[in-house]
Amino acid sequence: MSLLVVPLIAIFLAAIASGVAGTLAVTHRMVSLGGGLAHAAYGGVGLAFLLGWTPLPVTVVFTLAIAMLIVWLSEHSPERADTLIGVVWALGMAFGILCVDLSRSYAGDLMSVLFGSLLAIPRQDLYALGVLDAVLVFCAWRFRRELLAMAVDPEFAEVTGFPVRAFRVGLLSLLSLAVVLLMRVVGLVLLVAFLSIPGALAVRWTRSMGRALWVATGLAFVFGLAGLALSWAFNLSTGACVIAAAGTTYLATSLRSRE
Amino acid sequence: MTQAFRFRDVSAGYRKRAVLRGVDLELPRGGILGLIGPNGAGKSTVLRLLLGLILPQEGTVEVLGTSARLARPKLGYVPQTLTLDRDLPGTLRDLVLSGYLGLIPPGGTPSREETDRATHWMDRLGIADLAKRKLSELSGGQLQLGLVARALVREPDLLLLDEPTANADARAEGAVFGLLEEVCRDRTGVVVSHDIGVLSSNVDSIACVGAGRIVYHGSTEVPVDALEEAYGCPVDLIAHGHPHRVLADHHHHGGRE
Repeated sequence: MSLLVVPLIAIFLAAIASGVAGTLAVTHRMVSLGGGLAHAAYGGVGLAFLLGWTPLPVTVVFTLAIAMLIVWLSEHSPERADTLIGVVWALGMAFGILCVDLSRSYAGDLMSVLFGSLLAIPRQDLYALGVLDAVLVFCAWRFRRELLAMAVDPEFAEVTGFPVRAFRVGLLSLLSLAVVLLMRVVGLVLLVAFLSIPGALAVRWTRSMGRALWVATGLAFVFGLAGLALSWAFNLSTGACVIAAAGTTYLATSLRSRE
Repeated sequence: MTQAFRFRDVSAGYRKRAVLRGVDLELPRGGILGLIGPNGAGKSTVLRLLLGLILPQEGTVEVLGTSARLARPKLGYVPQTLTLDRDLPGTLRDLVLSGYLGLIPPGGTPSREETDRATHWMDRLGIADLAKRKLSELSGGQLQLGLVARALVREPDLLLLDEPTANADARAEGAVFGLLEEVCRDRTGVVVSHDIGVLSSNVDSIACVGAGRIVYHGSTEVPVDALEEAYGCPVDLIAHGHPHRVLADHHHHGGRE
């Protein structure tokens, strides 16, 4: 039973990050950006692997740098945002793979980055996730009215003199941190679903930003528990089970809401 | 008394394409100006200059005696509903209260007086009973009225409205222009529309935008040749209740307009 304590804590902390950051990503149309960051973050993992440094701080710095690069490119390049995200997505991933190739070390541990490793999550990652949750909850709750107004009508927000750009950069930074820290739980390949599904359902079901944040967090926790139970019962990959539970619920409720 | 806004030799546009060329225009404070012209003539460019969203390529734009950006706290803006994302967890009340954005410090809550003012304007526009409806549950016209209320809670000195009755039925159109007439007794309104009929019976003066120029007329009596120049096509006078000009049936650049 004690074996389950760390995964349960991890699911609880990951649910908060997923629920809050995911709701913000969905409302601000940043889901594909989240997916792009998750894959680009592999560049940071590969770089840490090559240098023999602790992966978490290197990946955090690398992913934040990628996020700022996307902001800069979107402001200075005529390219469409989704094209830029696609390029950065693949480029970060390729950089990570090249770093791993160059290191010529055994890369078995990197599977946990790709597919998640809930049972072997390092304690310092849990502490970092706890700190991120506190910051996310504080910012999202305190600025929920502004964040909603920005999402509904960004142009109006800008003409009121509200610091839209600063908020957008802050939002992207928090999303980057959430992506890096959630990678350990569900893996970068499946992360975008864990980030977007609870938020998408909560946005559909609620009529206030505050309530959407709590509902998304609750849903992420339930999906996490369901995934853990399934993986425990049938000896399956936890990350995949979490996403299977979330994705099935999303599709079922999408079909029902269309009836 | 400063002008509502003043353009001095303004050229503006997007990338290297100038939509407005060497425009000089001054609008005195008070009353409602209707800005008409065909699609792509530069009506929205004028609004974007006044809002400080774009800078002139040449010349200067002065709004309420200062730069467009510094004037923002005193501006009210009603965009077209098409620009909004409605599938979000927010109600009509949230939308109207977002009018205080930039006036209340980030993270702040509207005061009792401010929420009462929001309720007052929703009431005046006949949408107070829809306050708790989700944005996705509102019709285009109801949403449009919500945007007008959002602009009015800011108690703006200059109100800028982009096609404010595009999705509205006759009742909502009457509500918007009736209220505009009232609030613009001591402030200035600028209404952009391509519908000459709507504007000519609801505004105090008209400016025609077209062919890179803006021609200001002190009243709604716009000479037909000015309209024809702006639209680049024939214009007829129609009277049913109130006389107004409409574009005549014609073929222009190979297409029917």
